[in-house]
Amino acid sequence: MKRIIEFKISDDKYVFLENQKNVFEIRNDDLQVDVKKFYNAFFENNLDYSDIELHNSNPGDKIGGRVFGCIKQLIDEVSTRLMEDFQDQKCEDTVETIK
Amino acid sequence: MKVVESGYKLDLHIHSVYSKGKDGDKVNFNTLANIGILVGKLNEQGVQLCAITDHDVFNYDMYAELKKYEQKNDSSIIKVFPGVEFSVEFQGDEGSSVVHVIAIFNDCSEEQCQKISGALLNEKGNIAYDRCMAFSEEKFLAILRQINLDTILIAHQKNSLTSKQERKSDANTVGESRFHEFIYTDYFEAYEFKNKKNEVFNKNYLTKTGMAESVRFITGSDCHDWRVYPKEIQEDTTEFIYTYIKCLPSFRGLVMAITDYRRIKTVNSFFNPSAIYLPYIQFAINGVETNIPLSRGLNVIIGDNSIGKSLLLHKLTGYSKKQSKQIKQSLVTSYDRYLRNNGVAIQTSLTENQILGFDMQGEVREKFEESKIKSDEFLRKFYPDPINPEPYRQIVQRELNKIFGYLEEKFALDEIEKSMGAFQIVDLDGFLAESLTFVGQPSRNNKTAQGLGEISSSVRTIIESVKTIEGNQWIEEFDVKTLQEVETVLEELAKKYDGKKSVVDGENAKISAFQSVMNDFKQRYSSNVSDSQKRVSSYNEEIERTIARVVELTLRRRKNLRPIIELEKKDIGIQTNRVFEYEFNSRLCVLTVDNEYIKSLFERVFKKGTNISHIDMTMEQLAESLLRFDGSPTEALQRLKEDIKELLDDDFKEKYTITQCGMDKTQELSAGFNARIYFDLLSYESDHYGIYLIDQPEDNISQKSIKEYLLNRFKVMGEKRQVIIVTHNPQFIVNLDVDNVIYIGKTNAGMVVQSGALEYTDTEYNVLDIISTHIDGGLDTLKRRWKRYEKNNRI
Repeated sequence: MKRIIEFKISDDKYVFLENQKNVFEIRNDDLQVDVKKFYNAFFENNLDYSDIELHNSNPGDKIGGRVFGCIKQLIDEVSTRLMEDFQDQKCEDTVETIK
Repeated sequence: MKVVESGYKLDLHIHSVYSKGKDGDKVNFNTLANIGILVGKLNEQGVQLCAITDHDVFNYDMYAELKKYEQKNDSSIIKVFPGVEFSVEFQGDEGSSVVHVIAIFNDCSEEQCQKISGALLNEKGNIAYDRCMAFSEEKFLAILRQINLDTILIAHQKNSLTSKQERKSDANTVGESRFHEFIYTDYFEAYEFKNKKNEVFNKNYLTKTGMAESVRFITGSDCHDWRVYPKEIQEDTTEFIYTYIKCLPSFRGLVMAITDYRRIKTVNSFFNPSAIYLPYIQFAINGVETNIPLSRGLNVIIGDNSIGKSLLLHKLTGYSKKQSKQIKQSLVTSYDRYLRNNGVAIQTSLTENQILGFDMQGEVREKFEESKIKSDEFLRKFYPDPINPEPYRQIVQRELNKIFGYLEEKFALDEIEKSMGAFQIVDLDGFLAESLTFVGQPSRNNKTAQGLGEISSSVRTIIESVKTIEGNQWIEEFDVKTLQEVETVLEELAKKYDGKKSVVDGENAKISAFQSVMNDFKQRYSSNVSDSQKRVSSYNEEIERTIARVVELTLRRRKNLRPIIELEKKDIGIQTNRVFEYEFNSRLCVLTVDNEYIKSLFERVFKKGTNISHIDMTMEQLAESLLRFDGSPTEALQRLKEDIKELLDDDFKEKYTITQCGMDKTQELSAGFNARIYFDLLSYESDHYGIYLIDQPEDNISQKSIKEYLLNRFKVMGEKRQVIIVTHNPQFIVNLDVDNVIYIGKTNAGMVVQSGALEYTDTEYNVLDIISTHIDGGLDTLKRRWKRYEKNNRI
């Protein structure tokens, strides 16, 4: 199921919303990415990562664009590798079955 | 003769010609001149105790003539008692009724015996009947008072008590109410029957009415023609059965026997003639050698505290308890010193083969303690083989491993999650300098290697178990082949996982080599590039590390599935070996393994009020929930495993119990009941004929239990083997009706040993007096028996 994540800028932070709920944020004064919170927001508890779409609501904001780009890169890369692992696992299982 | 050695064949109902008044010509042959014919017949039958009991008449000459044959070499007769068969009219439920009553008198005084006949006659020299050919009850009692000898009364009861027809002269012709009065007041010492068939009917009646201990039956031939003895007359077709009584051959002995149903039998099986027995204890006091005769049956040792009763048992068994470390050398030394100081030497010592068992004071209770229940020499043989707990334990362990494995990985991932850290998003727009980013740091897959290794190792363990089964001598050839096939499949499986592991090991080796090269290269690279290149590299590596961590965490979380415990309920059977009315059970402490059992294991190691499920706990919550745990959260899982292992060790321990047939095998018997089982089994024991010795069997057993079952157990034991008991309990002496009492005492002159059957008396002592003097409560118990002797006074 497609998940749509919306990226917004508020007064002091950059916010990622899913179903209008703040799932992840980065304060604009330090731009620190808390990896645990990132994991909790997008991948914990078997959240579906097969089709995540990120929308940047403020494409004109330079720093916001960097933040958005970084998080998008992380999500895309993690999702891709997880999908690859999933495919690899399926292949291994098939080989085992044939054997 | 001091001890009871045998049962004696008895006939107290023989008529002579002096019964002519009632029996007419039937008794014509039975004259003084023909008494040799009677003696010959009595010898033929082996009768040892007898009496001529004529109707309402006593002829001293006839009695004296028969008495001449007492203890003669060619005669079976050991004792002849004076006696009369009285016709007594009793007031019954519905009018009067004449009952024939045999009275046997104490033969202690010849002069008194000579006066018996006179007491039966009136002034005119006729039988002093005050009723029609009978005495009224009052007259009968008056005659007995006049005779003034201890008396045993035996009433006719020729028809069985179950018979609907009444028979003339029988005791129950007085009606049910009066007959029960006879029974409950012990009016008669015994009831006489003749027909063999009636024995069973009478026993059934007594058992049904709960009077087995209150009513005693003996047989009498009622012979009216000595030529056809033991028939009553020529035409008599009744199948006669003799009675045997166990006693000293004396009037006192007869009283003791006839007042205790256990001393009366129709077969002479009071003692086991083939059992090993000790005929006497040889000892010396101050150099004077003497022997204490022992009975083949029950012997009790009594005496004051610390007089040496227990010592005697230990000495007789050659201090056998020292070998089993149940007594210390210091006790042996003090016993030997005591004997020396008192000038006593006990020369008899039993060999191991002569002893069935020796139970010291309190030892019976100890036999049933958890640690000893299976180790006791005597009880051990009754238990079935132990149950192998391993198959059941492995089922549980497998399910637990699922839980432990899940928690272990969960806690590890929780830690990874907590320490994933943070990084800063930086602006690299101005840093486009060429740089190298070291991405995708490969790590060794040690866990996989370990898991694969465990599989092949476990499969090899199974192969060895299969091989063990193949080597079992009881396995069939066909099944060996099947197992060999299984072995081949398992070998292939083990090789497969060996192969997989070696691939992973190979990869790990390559990764190690690669890591080493990369680290070296990175070090060299970082020392040769600009700061801006370093910054770009560092940031890119941080991004890569983050991706790798999140991927690893997500993958491992995905693979660490929450375990589903679906343990099919398995009842662990109880192996049972039935021994008489008991079941000897071999079992495990736990009887069922299922999901609930697994759940209970966790509940038992967690604090009360722990609401969170073990599967959902964090490491910290686990540490908080464990009982008596104050270690760090990282040690909590290991502690959980250890605690549960301890529970499993306890639950899967072998357990041995004894239950009564028909009762729930999972329920255990009380300590008191255990003692009962032990004595039951000892009394049933017939494979070994050794002597049984016990010091104070009454310990830890209530008076009620002693009376209700223990005495009977010992009685049965006494019929099978020689038993030597040390006791302070009067019930064991008088109510058990032991065959021999040994008193150990001390006077100013030194140690004294006196012994004999309960009825034994001589010029120096009387065993009943010894008991009443030296046993607490002995007098009360004895009074109940003594009333037999005092019948002449009582009436």
